[in-house]
Amino acid sequence: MISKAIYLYTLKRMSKHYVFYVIAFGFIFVLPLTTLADPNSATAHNDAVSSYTCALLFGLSIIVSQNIAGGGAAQGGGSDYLPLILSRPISRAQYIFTKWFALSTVVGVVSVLQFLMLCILGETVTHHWTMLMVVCSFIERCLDALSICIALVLVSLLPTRQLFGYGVIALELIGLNHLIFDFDFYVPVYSSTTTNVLKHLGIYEWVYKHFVPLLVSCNPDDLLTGLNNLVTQVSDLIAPRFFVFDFLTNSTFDIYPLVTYLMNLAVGLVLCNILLNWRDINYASE
Amino acid sequence: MDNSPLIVVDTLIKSYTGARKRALNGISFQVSEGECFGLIGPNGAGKTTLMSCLLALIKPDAGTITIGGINPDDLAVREVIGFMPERPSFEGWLTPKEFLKMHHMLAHQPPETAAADIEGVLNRVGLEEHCWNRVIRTFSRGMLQRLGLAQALIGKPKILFLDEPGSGMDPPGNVLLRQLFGQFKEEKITVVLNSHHLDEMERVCDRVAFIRAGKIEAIETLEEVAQRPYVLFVKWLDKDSSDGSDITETLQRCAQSASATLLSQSGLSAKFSVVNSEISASLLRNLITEGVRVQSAQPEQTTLERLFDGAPAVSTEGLLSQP
Repeated sequence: MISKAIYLYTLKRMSKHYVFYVIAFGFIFVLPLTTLADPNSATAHNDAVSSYTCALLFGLSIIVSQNIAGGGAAQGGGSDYLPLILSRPISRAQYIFTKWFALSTVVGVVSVLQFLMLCILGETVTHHWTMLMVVCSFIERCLDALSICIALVLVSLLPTRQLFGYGVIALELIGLNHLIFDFDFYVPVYSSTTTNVLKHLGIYEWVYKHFVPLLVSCNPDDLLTGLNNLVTQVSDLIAPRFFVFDFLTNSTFDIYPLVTYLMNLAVGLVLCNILLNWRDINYASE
Repeated sequence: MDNSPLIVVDTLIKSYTGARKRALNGISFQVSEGECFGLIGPNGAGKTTLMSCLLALIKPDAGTITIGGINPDDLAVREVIGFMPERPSFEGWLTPKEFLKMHHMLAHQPPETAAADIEGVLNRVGLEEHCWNRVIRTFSRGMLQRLGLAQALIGKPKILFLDEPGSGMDPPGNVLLRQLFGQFKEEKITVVLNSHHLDEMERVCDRVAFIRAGKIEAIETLEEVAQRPYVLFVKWLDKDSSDGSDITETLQRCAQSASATLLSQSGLSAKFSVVNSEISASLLRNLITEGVRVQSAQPEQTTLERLFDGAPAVSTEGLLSQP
């Protein structure tokens, strides 16, 4: 199912660029240091070093800087030259699967190394994590990388540079949602921290007191919670999460989260396939 | 040459979103094994779309393509084809050796033969050895074309789809290309060639399809194209002043006698419309017999250019008055 040639050359392409090392260094060594800034602060255990945000933002930086899966019109410009690759005896499904796996490998390794750094810095001790929780977190980082990389490959395969740009923005919004709103597992919690963050935004007062009440009859807090829920649901659909520790320690054996995760992975891969099969690959046009 | 059709294209139709006209409008043809089949036509005629359909990069709206009896999308077909695009956009950070190694792997060639195959194919396309380990982004257009050709050949293909292989090549490159086409014929490699280099096409193609506005207007062998009417441009040396006959009358008489038509005369040159080479020979014989000191005679277009213009009208109304 995996094309060895594409896998190896995708890894080689990513590792060839010095920007890759700069970004990876930032994610593995610099971001975890932010947790040392004020361990008692509510925002110290921030989502900047969460598994989801790390995979999403690092993956985004890779596809934007290197365009690993042939985005835009796929006519070079730093991307794969799809017409040549697709004239070889590999299926489009194989191409997608390989690109996904290659990107997941890199993103997963960086995410795992970041968590290792967090462990070394004592983040797990601060939050009284057990050994099982730590081990599960390592696995979750790999699983998050796998799910998020499907969304990244999907965006990379969009047929025009404009659509690629929109896709990147959409993923950034999902990342921002994770950064700004604290939420735990599948239940988003609209916390006071979030309110405090929002209050620092200049237009908050105006939006909160004038615009939202005019627009909808509900409470602005409810509206924001609802929006947050929506974005979270969408992001969970596009890039699902599976919490290994919860799965293992649940008092009842519930396979539903695993099935949901696997189903969503399958849906993502099918969507990528549909997109690449639907596209005309014009080799002589930009 | 085996006459069994290897590539069969039947009533191919393809439209692009937003385009007023169909890019391909019912194209049908067959290519035999070992044949070199050329695609010619003006820009926007649909040649590249046709090539893309043959490579299964584009799905036609209607019609069928089979290569060796199977769909071009089948991986078994891609095992035996080589493709060289018109403007290859290679991975600039790779060296030719690395790039070809990737395609050697992609073409499912045995890894143990990789080094020998790569060197063999680089030598075959005449890419100089000192460039083999240089990154591709530093290459000139001609070098990229050679590398593109090497890439198409690395999988030991039985069918080659080549789009403008001579584009950007220097004269030695074009000579090499001609030699390669000779080798392809010996190796019974089927070639579908898309090019605007008509003189090269004349040298290497067995048959050509002339495509205009998404339709095939003609599929002919080179011999058949040569039999199309064309314009013969004749120049002669200054006439002997002792001969008092009118040159225009002489030219007309010679043309009529050879079943040709005098289209125009200007000074010491004239254009004749002739139906085929036999008529040309007859016309020249008549001119010499009539005392015209013929300096040169050549068709105004190359053989394949005649397909672009269509047959020139054979009419006596084309005669222009002498200046």
